Amino acid sequence: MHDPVNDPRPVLLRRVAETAIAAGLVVFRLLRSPVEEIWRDWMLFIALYWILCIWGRRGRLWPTLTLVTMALLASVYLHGQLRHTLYSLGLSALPGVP
Amino acid sequence: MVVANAAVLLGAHATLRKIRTGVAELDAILFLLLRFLIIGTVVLAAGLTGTLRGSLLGIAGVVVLAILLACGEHRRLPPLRLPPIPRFVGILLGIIAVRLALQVWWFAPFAVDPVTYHLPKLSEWIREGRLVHAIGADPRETFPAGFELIETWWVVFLRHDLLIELAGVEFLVLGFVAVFALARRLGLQEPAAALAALLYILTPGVHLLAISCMNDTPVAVLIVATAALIQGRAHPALLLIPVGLGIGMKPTYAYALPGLLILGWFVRRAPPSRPDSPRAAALVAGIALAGGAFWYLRNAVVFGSPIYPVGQVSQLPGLPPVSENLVWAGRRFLRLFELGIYDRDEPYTSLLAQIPGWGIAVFAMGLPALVDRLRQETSYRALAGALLVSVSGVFLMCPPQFYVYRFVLFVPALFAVAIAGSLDVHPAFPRLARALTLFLLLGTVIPHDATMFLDRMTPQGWRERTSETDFKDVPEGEKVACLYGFNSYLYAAAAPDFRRPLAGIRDASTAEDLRDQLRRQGIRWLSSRGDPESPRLKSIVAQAERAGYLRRHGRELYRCTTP
Repeated sequence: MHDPVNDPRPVLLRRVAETAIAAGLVVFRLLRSPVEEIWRDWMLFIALYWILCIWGRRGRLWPTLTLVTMALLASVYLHGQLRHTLYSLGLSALPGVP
Repeated sequence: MVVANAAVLLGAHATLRKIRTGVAELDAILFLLLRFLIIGTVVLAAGLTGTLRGSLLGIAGVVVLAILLACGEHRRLPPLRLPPIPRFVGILLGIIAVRLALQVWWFAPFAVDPVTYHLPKLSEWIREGRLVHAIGADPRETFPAGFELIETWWVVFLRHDLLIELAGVEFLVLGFVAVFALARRLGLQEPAAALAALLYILTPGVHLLAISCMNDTPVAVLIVATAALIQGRAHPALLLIPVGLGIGMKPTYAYALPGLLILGWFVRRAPPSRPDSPRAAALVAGIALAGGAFWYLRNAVVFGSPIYPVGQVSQLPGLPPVSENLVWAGRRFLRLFELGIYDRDEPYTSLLAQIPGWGIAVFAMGLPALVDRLRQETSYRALAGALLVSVSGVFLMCPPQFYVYRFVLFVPALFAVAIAGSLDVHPAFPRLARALTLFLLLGTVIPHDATMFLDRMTPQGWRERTSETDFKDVPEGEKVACLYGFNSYLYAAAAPDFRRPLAGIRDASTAEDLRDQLRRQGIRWLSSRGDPESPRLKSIVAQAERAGYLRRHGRELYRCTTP
């Protein structure tokens, strides 16, 4: 007899749909982002992280992976903004020269 | 000022007793909203009746306070119970409070929009003791001015702008309470909700605009407060209080309303929070809506259009056709995601022209945390979907040439709650959140556009402190005019104690016409700074100088030679 509560198909369907969206985002970014900008494309990172969230188990590795993603994004952000903040605080002479 | 503020606080609590929901966080939001509503209503009423004087408001405050005390309202105040917040959050809040006090003390209004069109009219209100509809200095001076009413409250007693930034600081407090309530409604415990609230008020755009006399942080905070009340299923009449306040401050609040309506639909099955007296709530909501609608009705009656002068001057064009604006909205989203969100194109400023100023916490922790929360929790999906509709509304309703990032400063609230909601995933997450908070603290010391005025502001005593000193030689009481248009920085002529009358010259056909206008209006000084609406006006000023009607007294300041 069909058991709708324990039917794994909706979960699988949702995972496939999510993966399709995330993979679409990866392709979109690879096509649109200039090659020299790929290393700091947050949408690419988040799309890959999303795929890992979908298929990876929430075990020991997953929080560490999340932490690595966050650290990577933090370094990307600081690479862009830190020089401006230091400049505003008078801690560097010119924007872009920490 | 102290007594009037005490009267407002006690009055807000007396009103809250009638409309409270019994949910502590929601009632805290309502209390602050009532305070803003009372202040706005009192200043508006005083402005309309020509009684906008510190002395009169002070006397009224004494009378009201005496009545409230005689009625025993002070005995009905609840014991102050602070939620259990983490020690780290408590210490940071203490540091922020001290720093805000210093920022309020040291900063004079400097940001281009306030000194060009928010505050010149406020200066005339204070000088005249009544509401002045327009002084003819800037096309935007007839925009809704609900936030200026709160700013007026902080300057009318001293007749000085020393404490004007406290208006924005009050909204920062509301921002903290609103995000705390939102996080609690989404199921977070009190310590995590406190961290979410801290992260939000330390968002660079939110924090720096709050101390820059800009009305964008207040509007964003009111949107978050409305979302929190909706999430708590507050009575519709209670929801109309922030709606009235928000619409009265800036139309961008109305552009975000479709998203909030959708949020209301999403949570329609949650148990409702009813006010003690729905009738009292409806009355308060009516007052709030009337206050919000006032500016649009005033513009319709006085100038012939509720959104005057949008579409009537070249500097404020109307919306392009929907099809064109849809393309623009798409470009705005793309630019926000591809460039803006990195905050890398410029320092944090009060204008947020190129960057949204959402900060490192949103970018580094907020994005992954939101992905996780969206996958796990329906309530986050509802809130995120609603806010996305709100952002779309703002992007769609703003003409292409507007800087729009500062109109969507409510978005970081979602990320702040998502971060706090993910803290228990890994023991390193709270440590990372704390580290990012410290960077946010560093980034919210001073808006970059204030740094260029610091050399002028800091050496001056508080009585003389202004961001511009171009008008220091102009005698007190002599009328100063600018050319009707953008970026005139006219408020500098009146600051800090509203000592000089302000005016504007809309257009002139010849040097003689300009001379006659100056003479008729009793204008003694003319500033040609900025971008006038009339393209010929600057050359007419040059002709008037050559004809001897004006004598240059600075780079862009002229003394009128004709009596």
